[in-house]
Amino acid sequence: MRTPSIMIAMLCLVMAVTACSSGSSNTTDKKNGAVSTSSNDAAKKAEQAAEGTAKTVDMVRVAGSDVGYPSPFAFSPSGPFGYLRNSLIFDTLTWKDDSGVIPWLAKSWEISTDGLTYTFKLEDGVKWHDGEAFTADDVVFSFNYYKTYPFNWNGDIAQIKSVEKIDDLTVVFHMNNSYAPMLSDLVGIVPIIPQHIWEQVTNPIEYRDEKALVGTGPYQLAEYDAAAGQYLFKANENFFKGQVIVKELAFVSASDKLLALQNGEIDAAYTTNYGDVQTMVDGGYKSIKSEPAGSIVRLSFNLEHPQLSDKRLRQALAYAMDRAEISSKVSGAEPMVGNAGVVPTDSPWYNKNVKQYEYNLQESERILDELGYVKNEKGIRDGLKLSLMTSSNKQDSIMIQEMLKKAGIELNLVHLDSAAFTVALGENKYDMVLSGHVGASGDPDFLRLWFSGKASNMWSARGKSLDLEQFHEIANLQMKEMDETKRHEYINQLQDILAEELPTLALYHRPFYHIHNPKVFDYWKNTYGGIADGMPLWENKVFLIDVKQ
Amino acid sequence: MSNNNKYWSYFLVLLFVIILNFWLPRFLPGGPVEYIAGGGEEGAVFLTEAQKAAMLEYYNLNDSLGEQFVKYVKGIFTFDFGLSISHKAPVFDVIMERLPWTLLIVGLATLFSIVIGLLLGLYSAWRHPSRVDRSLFLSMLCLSSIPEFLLGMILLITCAVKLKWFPLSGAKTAFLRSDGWLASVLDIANHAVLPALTLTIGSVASLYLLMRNESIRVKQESFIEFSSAKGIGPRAIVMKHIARNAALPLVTLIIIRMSGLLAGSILVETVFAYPGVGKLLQEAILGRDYPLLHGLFLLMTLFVLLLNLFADLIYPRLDPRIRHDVNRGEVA
Repeated sequence: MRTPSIMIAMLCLVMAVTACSSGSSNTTDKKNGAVSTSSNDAAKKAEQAAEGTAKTVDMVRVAGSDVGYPSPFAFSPSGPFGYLRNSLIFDTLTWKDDSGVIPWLAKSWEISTDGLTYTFKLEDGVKWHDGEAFTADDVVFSFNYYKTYPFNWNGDIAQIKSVEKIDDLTVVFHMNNSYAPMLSDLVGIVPIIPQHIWEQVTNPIEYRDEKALVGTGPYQLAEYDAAAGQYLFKANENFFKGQVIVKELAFVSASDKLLALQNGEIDAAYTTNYGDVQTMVDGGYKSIKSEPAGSIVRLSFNLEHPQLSDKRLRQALAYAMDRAEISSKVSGAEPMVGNAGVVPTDSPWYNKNVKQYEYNLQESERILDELGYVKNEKGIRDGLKLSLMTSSNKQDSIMIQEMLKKAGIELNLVHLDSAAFTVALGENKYDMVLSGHVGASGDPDFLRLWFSGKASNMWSARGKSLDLEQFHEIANLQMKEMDETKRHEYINQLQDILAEELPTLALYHRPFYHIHNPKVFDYWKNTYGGIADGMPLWENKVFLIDVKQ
Repeated sequence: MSNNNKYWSYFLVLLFVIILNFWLPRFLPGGPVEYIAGGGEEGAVFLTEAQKAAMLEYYNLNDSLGEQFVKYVKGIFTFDFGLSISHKAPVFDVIMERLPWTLLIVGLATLFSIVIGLLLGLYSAWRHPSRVDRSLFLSMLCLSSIPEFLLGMILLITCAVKLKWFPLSGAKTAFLRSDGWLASVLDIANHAVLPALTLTIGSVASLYLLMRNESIRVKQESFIEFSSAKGIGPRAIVMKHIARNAALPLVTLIIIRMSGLLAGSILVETVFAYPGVGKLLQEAILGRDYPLLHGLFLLMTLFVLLLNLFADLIYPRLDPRIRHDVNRGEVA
């Protein structure tokens, strides 16, 4: 009796969610210059079906730690969790679910043909947590406020020229140039804050009044223990997007997440260790693999290094590494070898025809000999001594060292802690760098960002020195291209260039796994392209809500 | 004169620590912004140069080191260390939120290690030489050689993971729904057992060893023999004569141990994920949170210095011989 009712509820949820997202996908296939989104009939039916059958859950406890006070200015920007806590309280114009971008505070939008103007129709009757009405003024105010006091997370506000209020429920965004990732990576990330509260605040980072947490979101912060890193969120009963299924959402710090799950102290956690997943699944827990994988482990070459500046050497190194072996040994799961063109192989933007570097020791040795790095009597190429710097991927680096030894290359490993690592990156003090991070599964604009030299952190690995006019030109073209097919072509070309030049070598992708107790809550799902700017995680508010429309 | 000298030396130590406190964290490679940019496995912010500059500006990290130092010194006198970079809240508040937890486990550990160490030491000395004394002595020697973090892990694995007697980590159950205060007190006590026990075991041995040796020494003094000859019972001899006379050097040791316990709390809190200042310090070092590091180091230094000062002041009152020495010195 119980299982079928859950099944029905789930089905309704899926229907509702897919229905409303099919509405949003209308925006992309524009025909007569501008196309608007609206919820269709199927969605309404799904909504009616969903109502009444949705089963509420009293409390779900998720493993977490202290990621700061969840106001848009005070959450911790190291790692995605600060942003995710904040996203429970504050809403954005668009959001993402398992099928892609969906309407959120904006119920529909129109895009001009040149991609320079976005007109958003806002949801009617949305109330802030303190009872005030949400209007277009708040949207205009938010984007202006962030110009003075930057938002704590990604979202390139500089792309917006101005935001204009048409009436209480309509806003127009004027862009500096057309910007393809606008819906997913800009208005889908930057939260709207209430004007009536923040207009008086001049020190937003230190602002700790309870008004700092007045949003429109599905949750309100009920308790926060900074010392222990615990959060308790209570459902907002008047949430505009539908009924909140999980009435209380707690984030509980656990020193060992698996043990805490087994002891019933928490109901969900994530891991990157496949062995843990197997143990837990055998114990009756359910697991979800992040799709797309989301994280990337990659090697970046210092292109200013006298030897590594030769792309043939970089290619020889690529041939010498058995990346499938590293992948399967480290993650314990099916290997997922990186694409030489960087975009993960499970991404819709992946170019299948890109040059790849299969493990081929002979080929590697041939190139190395050709380059004049001759082996001595001990089988070591004297002229080639390289170092590999890493901060968190120690295991991988040791395997790489062993593999390169077979090709006669001596590798010196340098392990640094996170801060020291970033400094060395910034000062270009390395030969090769091994880093693992997320961000490769969202909008493909990341290719431009990584290699544009604008970033100051490990995402870029100082791609500044990627001295290729052609790459940067295409990278800018794809950013401004509003036509999806044309954009695909550009992205394909970018991958070709990257695969040939190899400024970075994607070793493999390491999926994250979500483990949860299905008896407590079983609606967890992957988000299309990752939450916000591609977080391969599951704390997406949309799955905690019985979405209307 | 000598008293003045003593205060001077305290002052110099404090001054030295204040200076070191500023420079030491800055000798570590990388600063707070780099830590934020690093982000770790789950991802980092895509930090542009402009955002980085804004952050440096906001936390006054782009001022010259001289300016930063002046600000820091001013901050010490006004008790305002600025804003913690990783917590985005005043350093004072951040520390105050965690200090009670550390005081709880350090306080418990101090209390228990004193009571247990002294009683066992006395008992051991009383039974000296015998098999009981010997085995106690040896087992205490063994205990004192185990580092605290190892001890903590052993206790964690046996008592929390295998036997499930105590919780794995934290200082209290998250969002405990209970009716009375008793339940929450029990909950907190339950969480404090393992960390406090680890600290107690780590420090009980040295107290025991000193107490035992002192008592054995006192026991061999002639006045003990005399009181024994007077017909005073063994219990009275131990409690009234031996314990009292042996306790003197212990005062100093106890105070030194208290500062040791505070240092030990850094390791123990990390093992048990206990939200005290020790764990905070560890996080602050990793995050290169300069203002927070200043606050924490200063707090710990002051704690140790004040304890030492207290020992210096109280000792002459407990031991008249020292008081006399000092007086004689002043006259001469």
